[in-house]
Amino acid sequence: MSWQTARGFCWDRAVRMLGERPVALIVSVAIVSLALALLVGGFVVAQTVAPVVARLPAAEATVYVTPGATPEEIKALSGRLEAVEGVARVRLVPREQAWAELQRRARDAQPFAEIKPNPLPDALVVEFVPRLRPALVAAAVTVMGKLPRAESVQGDVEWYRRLMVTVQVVAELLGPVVLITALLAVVATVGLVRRFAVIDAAELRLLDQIGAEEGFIRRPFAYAGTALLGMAAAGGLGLVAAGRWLANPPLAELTRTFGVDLTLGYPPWPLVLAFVAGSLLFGAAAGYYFGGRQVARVRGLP
Amino acid sequence: MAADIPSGLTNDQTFVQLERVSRKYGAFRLALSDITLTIDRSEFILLIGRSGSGKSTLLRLVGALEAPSSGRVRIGGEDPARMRPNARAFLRRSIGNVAQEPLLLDRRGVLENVMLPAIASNQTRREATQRARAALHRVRFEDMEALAGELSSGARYRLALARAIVNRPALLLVDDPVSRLDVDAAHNMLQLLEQFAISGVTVVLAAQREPERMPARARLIRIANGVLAP
Repeated sequence: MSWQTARGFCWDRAVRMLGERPVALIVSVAIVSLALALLVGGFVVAQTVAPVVARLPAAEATVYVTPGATPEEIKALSGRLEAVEGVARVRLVPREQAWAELQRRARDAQPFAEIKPNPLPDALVVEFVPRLRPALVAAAVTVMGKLPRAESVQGDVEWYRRLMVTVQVVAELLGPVVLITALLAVVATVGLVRRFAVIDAAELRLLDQIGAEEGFIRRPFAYAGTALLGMAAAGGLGLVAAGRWLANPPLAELTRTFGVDLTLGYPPWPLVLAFVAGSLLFGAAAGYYFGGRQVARVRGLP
Repeated sequence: MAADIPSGLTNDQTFVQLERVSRKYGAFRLALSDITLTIDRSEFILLIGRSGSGKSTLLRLVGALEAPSSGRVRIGGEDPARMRPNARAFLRRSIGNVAQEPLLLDRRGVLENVMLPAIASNQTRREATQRARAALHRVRFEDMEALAGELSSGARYRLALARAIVNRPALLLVDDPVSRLDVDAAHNMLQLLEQFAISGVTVVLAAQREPERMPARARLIRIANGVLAP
């Protein structure tokens, strides 16, 4: 097939172009691989951390009921608590259950035997919706304390506020970090493709002389860019696999300690394919563009 | 060799026309001045002029490799300066061009060098190889295994000539091959070019001096200081 012959020649030229500077090629591939590995690695870490973040404990508050409140009054209080903004659900812990639980947890049950009657009040445990803003939790706790038959409210809002601030700071930093890494990857890639997109003035004169079309002249640059990014994408995925292999044993230990799966997985296959295809296309486009600029420069065009 | 006239070129007898063509390089260097010239199909033109007289510039204009600063060049009725780049490239495929210093891919083999225009014209590898072998045979080139960079000056020239004819051009432009060849080799070269002209190819050969044995078909045109001599 005639187009195969022309493309074969262009591939040959691309390979020669890259092969002329083997050390520069290896260094370039290593740099772009690292940049791409940072992007994919970031995704893998995010993929691992996302379920953990999703399962972060929601804020809770315990509303102690005024002693002597009737079951109807407790039920009414439960309903009012559920109506407070940000509350996901309310569950009753009867005083008998709380007393039994306290005794069960205590190592020495003797002191409890001497205390009569049960001094604990009925309690309503209020669970807020996940990742509710700490200010709303604090406001809700204040409102709950003023409800009829609410003796007092215990809500450790401070730990929740610290947790949410930490999550928020990490989330806010993540965007710029990903953006900067992506930009660095693009800049590094473009710079390196540009370094390889060179054409000798005599070679260009020859190609013009024989009536080579612009596509024939520029295609080897696109192929060189494709090859460069293809190698770099493979290298990047290799680095991610190596990083996963190194990081997973200690992460498995953490998983056992905290009961939360922190081991790094692989990105989904469609994403890997899209990443490779995107890299190849980007390499081709960058090569074609910078090849064209180089050709225009050698020809003395603006 | 039968010259295939590329599609898009007219079949008029006049093949190349230069109308009041001048070519300037920079602000001051006038390489060609007010040239008017007509070349018919299958003519054999011998363009004689000293070094720097404007021969190579004239060949580059006729080869659609440069545009004139003023005036108009027509090849097969088409003005290359007004063509789109790819159409100009297509026109160049019908023009065989051998520069004064042959441009070759030195690290590639003889056959690969000659095949290049055929490959760039989207010929199949088989067709390109056949054409390249025929062209090499035509210029009596035998060392097919050598790299282009290893060849002598004369062999490089013949290789460039083989490459120039591989696409069966309608117009063959040859820049000063005889000045570096001995009398017999120069005569052989002229005979070969004359055969091309006989078979229908328009040939323009630039040289610094008149050959000792003038080809019978040749029309002599002299150029000096960028102006055609009367």
